[in-house]
Amino acid sequence: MNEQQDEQTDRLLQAWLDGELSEEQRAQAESLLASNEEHRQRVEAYEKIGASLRRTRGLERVEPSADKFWNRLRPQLSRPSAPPWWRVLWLRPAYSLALAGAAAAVILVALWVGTLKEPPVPQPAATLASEPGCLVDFIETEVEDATLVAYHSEQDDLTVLWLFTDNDEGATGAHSSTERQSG
Amino acid sequence: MQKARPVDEDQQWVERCQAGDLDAFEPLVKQHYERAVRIAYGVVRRQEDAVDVAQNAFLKAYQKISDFSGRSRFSTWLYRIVFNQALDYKRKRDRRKVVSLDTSEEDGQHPREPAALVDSAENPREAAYAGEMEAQLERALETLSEEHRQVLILREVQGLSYEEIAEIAQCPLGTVMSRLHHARRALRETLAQWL
Repeated sequence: MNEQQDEQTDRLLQAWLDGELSEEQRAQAESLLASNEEHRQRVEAYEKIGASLRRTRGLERVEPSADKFWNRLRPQLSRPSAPPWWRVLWLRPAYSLALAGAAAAVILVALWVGTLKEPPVPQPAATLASEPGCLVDFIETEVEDATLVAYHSEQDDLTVLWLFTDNDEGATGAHSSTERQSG
Repeated sequence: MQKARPVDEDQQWVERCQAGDLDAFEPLVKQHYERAVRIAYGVVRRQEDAVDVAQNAFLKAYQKISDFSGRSRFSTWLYRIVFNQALDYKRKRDRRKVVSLDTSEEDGQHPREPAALVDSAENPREAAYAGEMEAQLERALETLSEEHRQVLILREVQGLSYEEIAEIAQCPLGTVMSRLHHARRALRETLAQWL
């Protein structure tokens, strides 16, 4: 008998032992048992294992009695159980409103804090200064509300001056002067 | 053990519980508590703990009784709750300490001294032999996976049918048969010299 056949036979015999076979299958199993000593020994082994399990893993007598068991259980049944958190919110609208209000307040505060941050001041000189062979400098002037920026490029033989002023509308104007070195 | 009550009678009490009659739960408890404790004992191995587990399971069953649809028998539905509660209890207990076979000395029944054979004066050699076999059986059981071990115990010790085991353990019928087959075969091979 190959391994697969042996397994099928073993399953059949176990199911016979457990009383889980149809009439036809039972007849088949009993025929196998009647004709094969090894199969009978196998079933006997399973019966011994079952009997030992019942001795070691079964309870001879259940304590307490049914009445004592019920008397101990009954007070717990009448105690109300704690509902889940979502049910508490569902049943108590005030709790839901309070929670929603708190969440809205947190969101509003977060947005307000975000608006307090000042926008970065544009620094055009920073971009130009990164070019090789370029020099950018801020020059102090006596003109109020005005900034003078000098840009010099050796490669291009070029010097540019910017005068940044703040006009009445708040915009920034720029006037430039370029000069090339002669010779 | 009490004779199983017809299904119709359980259903009647279940419906009254679902309508809010707390005292209608009493006949259901008294009918099924013994088997519930035995099923729990098969997992947790201590009678006191088994009673606690069974109590918690009945409490949970009562709280969820409105969820019971009647598709299965009440007893099977209840025993599934007992079984799961017992497994949870055992997992929590095992996390707290290492469980060895020696801790079974705290149980009412010690595998090395089966209650049925301790006082046997007729054939002490046979008694000693059976005791040693049962000790070996316990060791062999611990080598099985939890799923295989519990299916075997539900079948051999609680006498439940394949269908009941499938409902309680929440696995297909084929899986129950496969696990039983594997568990018995493994034990037969391990205990070959004792059988």
